[in-house]
Amino acid sequence: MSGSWGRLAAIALLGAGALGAAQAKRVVIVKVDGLGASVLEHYLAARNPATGKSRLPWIDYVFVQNGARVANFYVRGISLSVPSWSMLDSGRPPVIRGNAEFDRLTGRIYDYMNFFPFYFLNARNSRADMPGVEVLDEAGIPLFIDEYQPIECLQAMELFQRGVRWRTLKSTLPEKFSRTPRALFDEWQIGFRVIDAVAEQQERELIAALAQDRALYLDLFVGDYDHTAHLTNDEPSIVRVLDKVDRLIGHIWGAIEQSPLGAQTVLALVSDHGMNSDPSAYSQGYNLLNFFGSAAGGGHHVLTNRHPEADYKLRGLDPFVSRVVTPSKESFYLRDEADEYPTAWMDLDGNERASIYLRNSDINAMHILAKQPRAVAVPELVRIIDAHRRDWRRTAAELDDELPALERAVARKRLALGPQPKHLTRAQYAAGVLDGWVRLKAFIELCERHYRDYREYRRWLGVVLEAREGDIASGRLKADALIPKGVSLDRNSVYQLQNYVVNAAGPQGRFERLNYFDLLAGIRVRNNVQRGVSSKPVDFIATEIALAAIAPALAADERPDCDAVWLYGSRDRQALILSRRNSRALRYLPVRNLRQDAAGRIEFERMEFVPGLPLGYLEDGASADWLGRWHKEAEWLQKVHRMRYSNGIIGLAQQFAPFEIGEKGELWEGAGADTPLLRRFAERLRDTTSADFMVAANDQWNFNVRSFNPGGNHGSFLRISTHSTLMFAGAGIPKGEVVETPYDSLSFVPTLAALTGLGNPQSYPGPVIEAVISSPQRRDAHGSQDCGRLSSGTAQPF
Amino acid sequence: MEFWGQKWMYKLCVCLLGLVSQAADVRVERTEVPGGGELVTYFRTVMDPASGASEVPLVSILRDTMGDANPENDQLRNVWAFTYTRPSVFKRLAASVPFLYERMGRSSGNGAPPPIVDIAAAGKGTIPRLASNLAQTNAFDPLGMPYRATTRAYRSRAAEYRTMQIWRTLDVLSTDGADSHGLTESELTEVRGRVLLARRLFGGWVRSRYMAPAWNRFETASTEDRGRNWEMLRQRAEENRLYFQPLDRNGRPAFAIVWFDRALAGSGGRFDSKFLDISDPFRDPRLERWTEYSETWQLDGSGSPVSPGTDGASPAEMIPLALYALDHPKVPLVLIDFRDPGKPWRREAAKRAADDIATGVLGWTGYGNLSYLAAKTSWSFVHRRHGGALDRSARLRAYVQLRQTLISDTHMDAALRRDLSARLERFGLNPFDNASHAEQDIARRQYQALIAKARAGGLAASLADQRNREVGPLVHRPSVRLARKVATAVTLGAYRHRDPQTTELLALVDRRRRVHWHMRYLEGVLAAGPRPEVVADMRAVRHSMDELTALSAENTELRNEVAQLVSAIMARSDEATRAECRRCLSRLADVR
Ligand SMILES: [Zn+2]
Ligand SMILES: [Zn+2]
Repeated sequence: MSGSWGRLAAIALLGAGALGAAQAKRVVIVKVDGLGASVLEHYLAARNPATGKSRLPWIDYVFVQNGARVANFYVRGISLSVPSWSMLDSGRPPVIRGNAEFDRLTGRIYDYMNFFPFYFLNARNSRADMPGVEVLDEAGIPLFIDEYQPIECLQAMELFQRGVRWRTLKSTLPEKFSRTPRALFDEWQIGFRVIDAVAEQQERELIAALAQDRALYLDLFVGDYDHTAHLTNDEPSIVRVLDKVDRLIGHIWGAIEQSPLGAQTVLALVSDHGMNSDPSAYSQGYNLLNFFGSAAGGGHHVLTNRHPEADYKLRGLDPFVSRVVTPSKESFYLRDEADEYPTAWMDLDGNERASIYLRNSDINAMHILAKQPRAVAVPELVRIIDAHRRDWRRTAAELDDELPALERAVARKRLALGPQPKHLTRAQYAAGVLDGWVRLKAFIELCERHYRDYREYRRWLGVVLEAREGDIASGRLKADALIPKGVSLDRNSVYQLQNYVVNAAGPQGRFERLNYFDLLAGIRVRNNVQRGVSSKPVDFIATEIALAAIAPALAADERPDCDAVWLYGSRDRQALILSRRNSRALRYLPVRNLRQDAAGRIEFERMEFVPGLPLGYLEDGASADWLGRWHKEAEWLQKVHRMRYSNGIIGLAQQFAPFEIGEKGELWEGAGADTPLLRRFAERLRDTTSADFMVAANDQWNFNVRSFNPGGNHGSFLRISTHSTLMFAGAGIPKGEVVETPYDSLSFVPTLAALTGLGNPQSYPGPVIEAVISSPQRRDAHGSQDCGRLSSGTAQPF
Repeated sequence: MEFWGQKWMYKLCVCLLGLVSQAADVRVERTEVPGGGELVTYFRTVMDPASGASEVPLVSILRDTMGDANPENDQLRNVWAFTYTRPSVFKRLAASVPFLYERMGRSSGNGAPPPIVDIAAAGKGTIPRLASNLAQTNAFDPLGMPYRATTRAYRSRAAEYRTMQIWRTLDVLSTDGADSHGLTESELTEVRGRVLLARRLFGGWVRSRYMAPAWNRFETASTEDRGRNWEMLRQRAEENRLYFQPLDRNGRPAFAIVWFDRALAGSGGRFDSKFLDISDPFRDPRLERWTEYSETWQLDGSGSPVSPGTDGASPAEMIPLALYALDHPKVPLVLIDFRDPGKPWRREAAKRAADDIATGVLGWTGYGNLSYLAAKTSWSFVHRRHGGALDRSARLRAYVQLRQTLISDTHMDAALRRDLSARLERFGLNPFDNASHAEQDIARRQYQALIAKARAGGLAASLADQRNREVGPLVHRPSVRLARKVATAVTLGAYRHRDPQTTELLALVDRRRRVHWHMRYLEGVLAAGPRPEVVADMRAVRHSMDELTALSAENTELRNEVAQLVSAIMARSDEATRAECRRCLSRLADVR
């Protein structure tokens, strides 16, 4: 449905002339997770002494000699898989900002990387898509693959996967065992690996599908490189994985050449981020889980999305688990209440960054007071509630509108769902009839769950808002009812994070407080055995400051139009990233001693550009004069992309940018007057997954706790981690082209749209990479220059 | 600005320096042997406290060169480890005594060592080993406890002794620079894979094309283990206010020592022994009156080690607590516990005793006692999940590697090395094993014996045997070959038919090997992708096609195979190569 719509739009846009022979009818995408551009360039340039050819002969042949390379392609936002693939698969700014996320208000955990529950639930017809896809659907953000009919797609097992290819899984073992007994024996002796068998099977299916003309969108996800590079920095091991990728490209290219659509096929090689891997040093982990659990770190019980592997517990084998609490041995006031009150949340796949969710500091204070003698505590408790009363009332009022609208939407969807389709023909099955039904059913169930969860939150709001001093003092209102379990509630303000309540200081309603910025930036390790690796695990801490709070402290020419990002390196090395979304402009303002008072007033001192500021652009050659002014995003990219932190300023602005909900969404489709309410609710669902702050690791440091990642990591804004691979070859692609103009994740989908004529390339926020499209097509399709739209800041229907 | 590139440049420099320094560590020597072969021998420089540095021969590989310089007809043969001895009667008797976990006696080292594996006939030992297993379960075990316990003790120690030699051989062959002269990269990978698989009962039957994957997987897993254990130990040391010092081997971290600041002795405080596997040093009175090995380091104000002369640094006495092997699955393995030197030995002996009681004394063997097997399997599973070191072969490997390091590391502080060596020597658990210093002597003597044997033409027969095996089917009828095999078996090997190494026979062997070599090369090219000219040097491809066309002239079956291969290349090649293919095909057709 959307497929044919997209094609019509394309025809209208391009005119008849553009649909010439060069138009790609079929697109094949090889997605290699974590394949950094620099490592690829290195081995492409290296020669194999035995043959005199490139060390990666196929990639060299297909993309370097006969295709186009985008030499400066970057992740926008943090260099983590889930957010990055979400942009590469949808062409939209990320509404998912981590590999796992937590809903502050309901405690719900979004574990985007865990395949097991998805496959399990899919097999029972109760889930159609990977959790990441469900979240994008909820936010009304379509995938590029949605431009096609299900029958036209062959999608691999990947993070943003629609539906499951059970055929692959089922045929994996028989395929393996259909080999000769001899080969089977050999593989058994050297150690058979199921994961290889699944990968090989997917490759076989892709090659088989290429020989027919039905599938128009085919992709293959390769996870080996990322996996190996995390575990080891051993060069031969890395080269062997790259060899495998290279051969894969060879086989696919061979199959494309032989295929009926060979002349109309585009092959793309793309990666979601780079990899900070150094053959001469291990990446060192710093265990933030232990830090937050220690008395010095606040004595938090820490909630994670899975078991830390270092525990080597049997429970760690449970593939379905996505809520694990590690109790603090030094908890101050929540001893033996770890399961009910985990007060610090973090995702285990931290890599070079950690997103930290802390329970709202005032809720901690209320909790401590609730455990103290009533006479002293109650007035203080009520005072805290009073301070929040206005915000909570507003939220309650909004939910009172949104929840009934949600209830009506669910009822409507239930009506539309009907009974499960039975006795499907093969054609109906292939056309996705059952998938569509399961998808709608799963969507309804998710909405119902949101409804239950948020109704519970609304109920709690009612209790606190109605709480009378007398009721609490008399014990009619139990302390338990005031402090909900398993949630972290409102995001902490900068004031709260600088004065975070961790314990009572005497019985007088006073508290022991921590300043998390000073604390984290001050961490040092004594065992520093690798030259060139800092003894400081933390590079900087980033958090957002609400526009209303920051605006009064800024001069008129500094004022942004949305929340600011504050980067904390140390007390005297800080910066504000200011954004004007209307004109797509950014500004970097160096400051020191930024603080917020209890009333919300922000104060800071302005400072000159000096070495040591977060992102270090001055050190890398940008002049203080240039750095100190507003520039369009495209100008920033052009200026800083080759520097050590490359597009970090854009990435940070994106990571903390407001969530952009899509135009068309299942949730509000046909909702009439409820539409704005449901859209607001969809936005709320994303908003409440915001962490309090992000800790960025120093070079060669990581915050992984699920397992050890000594080989390498990504997640930071360092160029080695954000610099990704993007190459094209085939129909309509110029040969031997190297595109030096920098682009980011948002350009991939519009470029595919322009190449295939599917969808409207102009409808995406990112620019098309014009140089990879052969000139006649380019002339017909697009009048604009590279980045033209970015700098002109014209309409975005999205 | 090109950050990544800089790192690689740096790495390159380190590598170059590494090669230079490693060149002194392992030396490769090639010795021609009568009968058309050569011995490729690996020597390592060892440090002797008395005489200083000297060289010890460790491993030799026999290569059948057919007496020429053409690598296309070469065949790798035996691999010898010179520390592997044929045990004396005394050692054999001692090895049969159950629960004797001690090194006993000393091997003489007269005579050449038994080979670890014959690359050309790797499956040779499989049937005898299988037969010996069957004899154990079906003949000895039922005879009763004394027979069962002694035979099982003997066999398990003999197998373990062989495994130790396998690990040692691999350790030598994995040294950087091991590929610099003697063997080509692909030969080296094949040898490593073969030796690695020689640990397994059926490993000898795995085909040679699986050698590279077998070795590469093992190598990658091993580098992953090292990295993970390095990290785990560093983090555990950091969290427990201890000091972590990695020790390199072959330019890669292989061991680590965890140190303790003596000033903290008796201070109490938090200590979590998880994965460190040592007792609490903060409450240990032994450390307060420590008189054994220690070092003086400089620490800065925050307790970080710094180089001498740094501002604000003050000296601290550091006591080593434990030495760990990093190349070990799941968790680092304690090889030396400085406060309790006997602990690793006791632990290992206890594990063995438990096994020996179950299988030798009680006769709970394998599938004969399913409930024991089930209980043992589930216990192992749980224990391993919790980081237990349960893989005996991996423990053995760690031990062997440390032994090698201590005799050959030239950078380590001499006093520390002496201390570590003395502690490790107590770790001997196998009566077949020899002490470190004796072993060097044995290796030299066994090497001399092998060289003497080779010079006297002693390897020529073995070279001839293999050549005969290869072309036997081409020159003798099956019935004749069977009759000869029977005769060899009946006379226990005293009779062995040998075809004279005539020019005709050698030409046949040469032709067969070269055909094999070129076919393997072309098959490899075809497997590497749909177009040979993208991945291969087309001159080499054309050369192989030419050679095969010429070599297959007299054999119809082979001609057809070659024609198929050439056609496959033609179907995937550019015009220049296709013309060459056409020429080969017409030549092949002409002969027909
Ligand atoms: Zn990734
Ligand atoms: Zn990764």
